[in-house]
Amino acid sequence: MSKRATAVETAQEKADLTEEAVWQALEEVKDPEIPVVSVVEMGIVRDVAVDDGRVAVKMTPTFSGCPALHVMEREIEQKVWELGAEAVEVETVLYPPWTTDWITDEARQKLKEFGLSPPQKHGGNVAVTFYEPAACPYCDSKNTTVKNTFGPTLCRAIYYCNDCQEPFEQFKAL
Amino acid sequence: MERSDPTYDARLEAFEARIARGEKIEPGDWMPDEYREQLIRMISQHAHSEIVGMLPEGAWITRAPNLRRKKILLSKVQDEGGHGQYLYHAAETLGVTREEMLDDLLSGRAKYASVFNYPTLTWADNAIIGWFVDGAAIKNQTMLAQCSYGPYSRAMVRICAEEGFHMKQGKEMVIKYSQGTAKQREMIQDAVNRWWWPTLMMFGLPDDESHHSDTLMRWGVKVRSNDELRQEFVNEMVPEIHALGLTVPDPDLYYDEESGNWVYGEIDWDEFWRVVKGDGPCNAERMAARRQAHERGQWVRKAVAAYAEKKRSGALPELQE
Repeated sequence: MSKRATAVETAQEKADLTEEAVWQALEEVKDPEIPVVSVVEMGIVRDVAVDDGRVAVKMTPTFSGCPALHVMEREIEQKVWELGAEAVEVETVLYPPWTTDWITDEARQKLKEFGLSPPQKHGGNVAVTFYEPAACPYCDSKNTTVKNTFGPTLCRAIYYCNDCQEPFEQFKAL
Repeated sequence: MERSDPTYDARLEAFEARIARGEKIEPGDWMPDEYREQLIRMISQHAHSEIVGMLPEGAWITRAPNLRRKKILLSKVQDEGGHGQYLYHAAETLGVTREEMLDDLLSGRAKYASVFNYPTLTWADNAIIGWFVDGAAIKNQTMLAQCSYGPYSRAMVRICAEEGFHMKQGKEMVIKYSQGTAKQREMIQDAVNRWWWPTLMMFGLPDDESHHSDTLMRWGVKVRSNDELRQEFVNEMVPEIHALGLTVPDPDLYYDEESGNWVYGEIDWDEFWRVVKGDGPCNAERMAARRQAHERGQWVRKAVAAYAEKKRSGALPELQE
């Protein structure tokens, strides 16, 4: 391939490498433990900036002790490289802290279908109580009982639905 | 529902027809006693395995080589605890109580995955447990995600996603080790050597000796056989182990062109039975740890029961919300 053709191709790739394209590509990076939702839908990706082939992504972990942080960082980087970026920087931003209010409505629906009762929106006014009523993701009943205040992860509690008699997990609001 | 019941045959027929149509059986639906008992046995064994499975890795949390590895291990062990709790709830939907299940475990009547009766001697063992043991568990659980009992199958879908993450993390550690110093490569090979056979035993007895299998397959509890899953696991793992420059501790292992299978040597079923029956390297230690935890929690159970009793008798003021 001639130098000229390579230059044209690179220019084309740069033109395609827009912020929108990066946001779209990051939709394919899933939460490692909840593979039905993406890091964008979960509100983990906070900002994308593209400057002449150089891409900077800001992300905020859901929990500071999150074991998946490293994996998500690497997968985000990988996705951006695949778009033909010349440089990729993924920065972890801890403030403002992540809140479940950042989870999109579509993702809430997907969590529910996955068997996780989605967190209620609180608009910043959240009290961490362990007895918050949670609706059953299977039958929508509110007649449920909390069984374990911590489930497999810090962000989840285990409930039992007294109507359809099935255990389920609730994604805690915070 | 007794077999002597005149409507039993008709109910059984309707039940089997539902399963044949791919419908899920839900809590409260009619089911043969044997289906209920087998599911209680499997789900509670699975729950016990998650809880006992926290012990071999949990012992390494304070000795993790750095903060990142510590966070990963801590969360993995918490995942297992959460899975155990969730599965106990799923078993309860079949009419068994938590107390009965715990009593069965602590008295030794109930079994748990025998693989957890082997010791974790070095940090490299955590890598291999993630890659091998979680990998084998996923094979089994991916199958169970299609099982005919609704709550168990739905629980498996989520649990598999989490176990998949554990396996990835374990594999990443194994790759790191295999690219490390001679000493590190030696450590990971040693861990492979010690965990390979116990992992293959996790799939259970060979098909021709597995007593539960026929009925479990007919009722859609299991949809694939022990040997089938074991072979699939071996076929996937062997090339990856070789690719990392590691060896499989099986002198009889060979690739069979015709079937496309990696044919493995004879599994030491005497060892399997020894460990299942309580004479493995760590059976006594694991059970002692569980009993101690149970005894140490006794005061909490007493306090909760006393509180409930007081509340019931009206001696407590109403809580203000």
